[in-house]
Amino acid sequence: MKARTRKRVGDSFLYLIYFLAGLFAALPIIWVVSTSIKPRQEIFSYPPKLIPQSPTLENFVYVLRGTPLPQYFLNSLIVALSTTFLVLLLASLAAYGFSRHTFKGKYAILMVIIGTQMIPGVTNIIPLYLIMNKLHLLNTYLALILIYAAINVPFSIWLLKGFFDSIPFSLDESALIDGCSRLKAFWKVILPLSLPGLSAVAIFTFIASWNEFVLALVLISSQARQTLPLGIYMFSNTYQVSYHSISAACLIAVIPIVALFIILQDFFVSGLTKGAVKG
Amino acid sequence: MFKKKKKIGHLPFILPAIIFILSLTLYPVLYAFYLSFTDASLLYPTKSFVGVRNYTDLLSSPIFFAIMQNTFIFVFSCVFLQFTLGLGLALALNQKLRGRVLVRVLLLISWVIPGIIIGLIFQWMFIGDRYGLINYCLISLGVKPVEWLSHPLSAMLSLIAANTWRGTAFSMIIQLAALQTIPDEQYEAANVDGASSLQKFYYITLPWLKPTILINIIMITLATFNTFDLVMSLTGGGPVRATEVISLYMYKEGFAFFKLGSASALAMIMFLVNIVFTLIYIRVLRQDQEVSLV
Repeated sequence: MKARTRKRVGDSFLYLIYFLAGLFAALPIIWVVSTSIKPRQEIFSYPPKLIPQSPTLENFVYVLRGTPLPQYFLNSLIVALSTTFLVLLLASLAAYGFSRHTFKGKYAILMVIIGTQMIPGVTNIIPLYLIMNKLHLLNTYLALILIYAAINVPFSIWLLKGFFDSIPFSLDESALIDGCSRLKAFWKVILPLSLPGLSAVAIFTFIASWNEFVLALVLISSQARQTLPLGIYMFSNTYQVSYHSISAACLIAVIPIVALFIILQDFFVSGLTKGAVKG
Repeated sequence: MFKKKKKIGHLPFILPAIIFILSLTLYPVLYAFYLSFTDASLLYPTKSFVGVRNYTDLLSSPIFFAIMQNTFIFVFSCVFLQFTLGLGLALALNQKLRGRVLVRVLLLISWVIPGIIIGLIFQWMFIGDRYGLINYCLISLGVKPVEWLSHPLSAMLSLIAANTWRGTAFSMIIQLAALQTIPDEQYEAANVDGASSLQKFYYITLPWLKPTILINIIMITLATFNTFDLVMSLTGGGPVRATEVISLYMYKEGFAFFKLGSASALAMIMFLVNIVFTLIYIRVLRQDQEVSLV
């Protein structure tokens, strides 16, 4: 009886923590959603209301019709999808090479790759700006795609190598004996068995490229090529835009990745914890 | 014949990725290293070698030390808050209670939102007058509203709050995953021996989590140290450089004042910090996962 009471008290305490944690996590989001559906005259009403009196979509209509937001959205989509494709290609091939072959210096090369994963994009903005300037790639999608791919490949190799290692070597060896080429064995045998790993790589790369800011800030100045984070930053900085338009724009920018994340969260969590947790 | 095929087999697979990493990650680091010893500028095309002058200029300027101090306060506070909150939440969410999946998803959402947008959201929450959410709450509690982003200390606090909101989920999910690897038998055995909850935490949970905790702290230290987007959009480094961290300083040296040499020296200092932490990280990882890497 006593133990049960104690458990009940403990559970209530835990539920209080759950509630506070949920509130902590959700409050800023609720605040933005609430702001984005407030009509103009309600935005500076006092006291501020979390639930607007007369909700409206006018802010969304405004940012979609009256600002370059759709262009930013398209730019982000092109850059993030191309980067994801390129990373999947480069990283899965490399991870297969590292998983299935033993050669001199393999361990050292892997260590260097893991090390480069830790080189932050921000310390490379000056040389990358100069390189892309020299190659006449400033203000192009290609500059962003190539650099984002290079940034995301190391982690992806590491993640995929783990997946490939867990597939029995005898599977692709027997495909080779049956006359498959290495590439075909990789394509037909290994890749289909590694879909969870490939999905984790894809979602990570997509989100990272969708969210990247500082390199875009340095490499892209023409409005026609700006990605969402850069575009929204410029938009909030240049014009005296009110917070309800910014809130609507922010929501349009985050809804795709939040949706993607919620649908694929298991892959996401497994990728996130890989490398930090044993087992 | 099969053997020979296997021997040359790996190069075409790994070479493309290696070329990408070499040309767009490692070569730029070397290039920045070289630039840090020059007076390169965006304003004129020629540059000349100036030895370590960029470094000595930085180390003798009071601004640099103010920036380093800002960076240290920002990183230390965020890491402390993110880690303790993250571990606490992980312990709470490791209990098999209803609703924990919802809370976990809610917390993780903050982690996928671009920093630039988090900055804008918090700007709107912390805005100086009574319309901001935070000030409204203060007023309701009978406290005087604060011009959060206009004073050095409160601007730094806002920045720390925003970044803690952003990063806590990461520590939470990593610690949660580690907690789930602890075999139940350990706790069952402790129960048989009559151990208290605190003893179980101290003698089973903590030792088991130790490598993960270390890696967690290294990762969030680096992530916070390298933060640029959130600071840029929330405070822009202001008021009067009170929240300017090293990444922002570097960006401004390079692209607002066009001093590429000096900015590269700053990049190298940042890079050095990253290297030191990465070496510790790899060391911890090697002790932990020797087998899976080779």
